[in-house]
Amino acid sequence: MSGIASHDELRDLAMLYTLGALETNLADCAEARAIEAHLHECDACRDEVALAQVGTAMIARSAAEAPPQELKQRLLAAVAETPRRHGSGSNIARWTAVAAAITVLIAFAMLLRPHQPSEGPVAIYLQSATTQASGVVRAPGGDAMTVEVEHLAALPAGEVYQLWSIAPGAKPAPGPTFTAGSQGTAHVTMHASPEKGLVIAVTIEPAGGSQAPTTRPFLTGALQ
Amino acid sequence: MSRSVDEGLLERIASGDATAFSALYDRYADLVYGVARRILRSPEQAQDVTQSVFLKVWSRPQLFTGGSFGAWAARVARNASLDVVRSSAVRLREPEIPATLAAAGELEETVFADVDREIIVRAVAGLPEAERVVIEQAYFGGLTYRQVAERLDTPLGTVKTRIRAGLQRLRGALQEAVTR
Ligand SMILES: [Zn+2]
Repeated sequence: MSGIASHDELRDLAMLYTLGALETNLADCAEARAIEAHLHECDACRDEVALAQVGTAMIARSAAEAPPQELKQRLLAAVAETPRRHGSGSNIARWTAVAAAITVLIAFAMLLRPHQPSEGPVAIYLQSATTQASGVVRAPGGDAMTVEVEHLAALPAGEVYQLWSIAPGAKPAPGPTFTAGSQGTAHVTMHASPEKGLVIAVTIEPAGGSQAPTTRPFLTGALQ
Repeated sequence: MSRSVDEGLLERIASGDATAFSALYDRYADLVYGVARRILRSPEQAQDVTQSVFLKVWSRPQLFTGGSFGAWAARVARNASLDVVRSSAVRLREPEIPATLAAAGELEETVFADVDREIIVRAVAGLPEAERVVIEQAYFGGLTYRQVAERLDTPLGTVKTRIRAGLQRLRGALQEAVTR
């Protein structure tokens, strides 16, 4: 989407987003931001979201089907063995922030404010709402950046991790591909101009990498 | 009404109350399992997804940040199921957190809590074929509207029009059913 989208275009996007029929890759950052901003000021488009919410709810509910009885027994047994995480306040706050920020659309991850960098060289903290992975990006100077990631899962043959850099308002630029070391870590160098609002993201791609992301990013961070 | 019931259950779950968890499961297991089953077709995989969704609610109830719990649960189940379809590599990923674009409306809540499923099924089945197909391919097939348009060899504008017409028809059928 280029330029200023019209009300009609945004109305369509809001409807499609609510149904879950919008591209969920990085290319839609601009669309997602435009929808969010427009919804705050347009009653008609909020009505459109309400319409799509009801319809989507009906589609989901129409599929409802009782699971086998033993599933509940299994689940309750698992629950009995899973101690509740009474995390520290900061842990819960962090999760709430992540839950609020990392969503189906990557744009919200751009609004995420990770921990303030406490010391010099770390430019971006990468966080994941869907995996244990985390990482840091350092920008020692020029357009070279180093990315360190940990707690990565090993991937099956034929799949790799790929880095992406997204300058504000731009499409994701493909970065290098990499795999996780035996400890689940990776150390990669990439090139991107470290401007404010720059987003770094990681996706899973077919071996050899992709020119545009084909899966949802699971690890993201933005340069504040 | 039902929203406050869910909120009450979730508060108790947050303090480790397994009875509340059991009650929440009874309210939404059919929805979560049914959505997963439609997307995955394999009953075993649908059970796995259902289990992961509810275990997530148990271990991190604060991931639900408000609105309609039914809508949230359906969306988490859908995303987790689509992840299973798309790549075995993301099998172990936790369900995605859905965005809440707008506060849940009363009518949306009605769909999950107060209306017989038969009424919903009849409304969906009563859609014109062309409208039902685009909506179901997007929702259960996990396709974007562009992919739906390509697959059906139909112009983008037509796909959007059919989706909107179908959604309007569904809401109309629901309104008629609940005011009767
Ligand atoms: Zn509008």
